[in-house]
Amino acid sequence: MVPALRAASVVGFLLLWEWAARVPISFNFPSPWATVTALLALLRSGALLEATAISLQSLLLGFGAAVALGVPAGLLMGVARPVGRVGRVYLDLLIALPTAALVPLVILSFGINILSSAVIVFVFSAPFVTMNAYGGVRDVRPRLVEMARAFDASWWQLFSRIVLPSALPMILAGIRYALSRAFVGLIVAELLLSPFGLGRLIMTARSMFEHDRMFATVLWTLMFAGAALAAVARLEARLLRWRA
Amino acid sequence: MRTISTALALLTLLLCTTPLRAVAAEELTLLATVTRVVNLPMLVGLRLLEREDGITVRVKDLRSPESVMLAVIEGQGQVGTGFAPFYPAIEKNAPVRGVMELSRPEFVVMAKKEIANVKALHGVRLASHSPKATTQSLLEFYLKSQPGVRPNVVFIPEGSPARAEALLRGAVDAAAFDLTAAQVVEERAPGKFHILIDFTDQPVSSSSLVVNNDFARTRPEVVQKLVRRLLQSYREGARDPKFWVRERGDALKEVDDARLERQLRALVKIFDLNGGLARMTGPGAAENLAFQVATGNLTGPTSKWRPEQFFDTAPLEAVLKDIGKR
Repeated sequence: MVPALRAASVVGFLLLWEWAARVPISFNFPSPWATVTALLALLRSGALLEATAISLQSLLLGFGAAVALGVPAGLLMGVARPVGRVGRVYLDLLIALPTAALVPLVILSFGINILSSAVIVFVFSAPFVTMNAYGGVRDVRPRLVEMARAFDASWWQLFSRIVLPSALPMILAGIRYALSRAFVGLIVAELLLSPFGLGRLIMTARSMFEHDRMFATVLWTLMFAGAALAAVARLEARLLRWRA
Repeated sequence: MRTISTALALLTLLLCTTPLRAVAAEELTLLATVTRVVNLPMLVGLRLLEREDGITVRVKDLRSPESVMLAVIEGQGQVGTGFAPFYPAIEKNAPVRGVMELSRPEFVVMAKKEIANVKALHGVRLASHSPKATTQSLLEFYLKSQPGVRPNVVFIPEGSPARAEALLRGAVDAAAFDLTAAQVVEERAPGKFHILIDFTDQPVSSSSLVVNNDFARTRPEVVQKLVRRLLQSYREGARDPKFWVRERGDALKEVDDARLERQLRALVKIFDLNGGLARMTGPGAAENLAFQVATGNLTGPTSKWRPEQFFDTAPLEAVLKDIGKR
């Protein structure tokens, strides 16, 4: 039943897209076939893979830093309550921050290079990693903590055996959500900051009204993001196998 | 009774149709990229159109030139400012035409004083707008005539002020931006930078007034009035740039009058007092289109393109016949 529904939804979406291209709903709107053809041509020319490799650098740098700094920061906020109370305010502000408006400032502070894109990716994703890690620690069941203490567990034992495993599902969910935010940040950075990688391909195609190439690059970015999210979900399932 | 009914019906019909027709006749939406000093003569022309012809003009700013083109193509505005994306749009059969040149290139490349000549641009960080933007097209076209000179081009699509700021702060060694930004750089850091390449004397159009074909066909008189008022603004402003400063209304109110006048005086040379007719017909148009092919905005060969595919000169020629050429 589910596979049939999935297949029907894909067919429905493709038909709707084809209809939109035939009307067309806007100037030079590409059909699914034209988009796939453009995608294959971009792959064959090597332009898409080259752009992906460039974008991947900003993504790994920015998102890697978001996980490496965000998770410990969230855990610290959860464990040390006064730090949590102060840090929570900044986290809320960072989540509500109109990051795109800060792009010119980022250029002037970090220069026109991959580092600037990585900073934008970091700002887009890090607050969500931290917030979930913090929430995960706050949600640890008090009974478990009391029981560990009753058995005279040390601080480290309490943290590593009770707090961290209990917070792990929320931490991993935060990482997965932050990864999707990182992709949004990456494209925003590459379109608004300085056109590198996939953003540059999108911008060039848009300027030349080659909407099939533009859609192809967006589709590729979606596939790339989908694959990365699926990989994180798989990792999440593996790490949380003990819960089953 | 029948006479009364007929009269009432006629009155109702008149009431229903007259205001609609009047509104349609008196409103025009012009789509432009972010307002800059270079747009001011055009904005003054629009004010003249409102005042002299009673046509209300709404100016809507969009972020990028390709968004402007798309919006004019879709009829969300009847007219717009067409920069480099105008040409590839026509190649993709966009139902729009250029009716007048708004300006020749207003761009220059400014560099640190240590970069004494064009050859020294090789390998240095040069800020440009974005791939396929007018600035970048001019730069690529120019660099083709300078073999061996390959600057490290970085794109800052935030506009001329952002590129000027990057140059001032040392984030880049050279930058392509408009003459207004060049003046600002000179004022803020006198003697530290100089204009290395001047694109303002290039015999090509930087921007054109683009009109939706449906609108041009149904309202030719409005298009002609618009062209006439823009030319009037250009001619009066070229005689004395104070005219543009005086007539600017609320546009660029934050800029001091004397400074604005100075900036406009530097820009006067890029406004053609004949609406760019020489670059829309004959050999001038061929050269203009050859430039677009050379920079990749149009596919080649140049011989496959005819000026009338891009430009409709009828309104401009009618106005010039009336007011005379300069």
